Amino acid sequence: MQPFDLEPGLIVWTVLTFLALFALLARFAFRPLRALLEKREQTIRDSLDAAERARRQAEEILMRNREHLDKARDETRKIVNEGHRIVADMKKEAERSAREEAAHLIEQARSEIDGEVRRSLDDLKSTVANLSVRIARQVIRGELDEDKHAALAEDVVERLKKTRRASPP
Amino acid sequence: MHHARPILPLPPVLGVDLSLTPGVLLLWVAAALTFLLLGLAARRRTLVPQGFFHNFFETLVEFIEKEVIRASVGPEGKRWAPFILTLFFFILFSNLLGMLPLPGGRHTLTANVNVTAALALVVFGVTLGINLARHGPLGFARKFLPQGLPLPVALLIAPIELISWLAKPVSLAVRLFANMMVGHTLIFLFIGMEVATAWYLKSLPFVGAVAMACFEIFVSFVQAFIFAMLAGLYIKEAIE
Repeated sequence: MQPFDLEPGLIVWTVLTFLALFALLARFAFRPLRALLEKREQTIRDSLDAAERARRQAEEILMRNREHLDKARDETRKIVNEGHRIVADMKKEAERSAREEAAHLIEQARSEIDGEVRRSLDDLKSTVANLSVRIARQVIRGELDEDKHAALAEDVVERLKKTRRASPP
Repeated sequence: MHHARPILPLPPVLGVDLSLTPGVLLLWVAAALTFLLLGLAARRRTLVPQGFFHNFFETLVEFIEKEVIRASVGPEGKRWAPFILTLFFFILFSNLLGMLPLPGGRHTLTANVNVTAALALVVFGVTLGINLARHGPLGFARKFLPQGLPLPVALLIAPIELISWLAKPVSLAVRLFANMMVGHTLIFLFIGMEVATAWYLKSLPFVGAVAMACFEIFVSFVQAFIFAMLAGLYIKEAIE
């Protein structure tokens, strides 16, 4: 085989062989290979699309979860604030109620003390009257009868009352 | 003119001697090798690529389809992909076959101008067919008359355009033939020097031959790539 010699037979055989090879390769090699490559490319593209969709869905879910979480945090904050407010109100109410109760008890104690004081004064008055009557009787026995003595005692008591009114305890 | 001695003499057809010569036999070996390897690569079709052999061919097919065919032919490249892929792989295996140490001297198919001329003629035939089918004989003839020029100038330019168009298959054939022949000649030159030189210098041609062989493998791919790329560009020119 000389490279520079013109060989029409070799040219014809080359053309025929090439055309036959082209027909065979196109049918049995390139068609299945290219179909496989296209299928692979499509599969990769589909997988990438699916991954992208999944990523977007995951992002949406994450965003929704964040929104829910924020909402839950707001709710919690509101509940806690409401609780604080209720506690403060209850505290104020308890203080007010305790103050009222204390005032009431003081008032009650004061009125009881007043009653006791009054009763004691009355007892004292009666005792003083009796004593004074007894003393006076001892002193002026004979000069005063029972009625005069009673009137005198009454007069003393009245004067005592007036004195007390003029100077309160 | 020296003709190869036929292995099987056959009667001439239309004056052309179609006897089977060692060149024709080698042509068939290259074609069979191309079909066998690509057929095997296409046989196991798994969505996930497996093994070096399948990966290599799938990557090569995809690379040529995307980087050569789509880049040169454009959107219509898909239709012409099997043709350009066949050109690429046939030229590649013909180039690589020349690297094998077969008995009887040089056996690089593409280092024979008849083979490269035949391949260039196929490309020429295809582009001519596309031109005639797409644009009709008149439309095709009008391609040689540049638009917007005065008629006398256009008539002067037309033969130059025609010669330029006819030179394309010639350049296609000569480029591949010259590159492959020079590369392989250099390897054989180094091997010849290996035999001829003194014993203490024998390592130099050996290193040269190995380096040249490695470079030739690279050139085999590059030349197949260039041939396929130019075929794609000529097809695109014919389509437009």
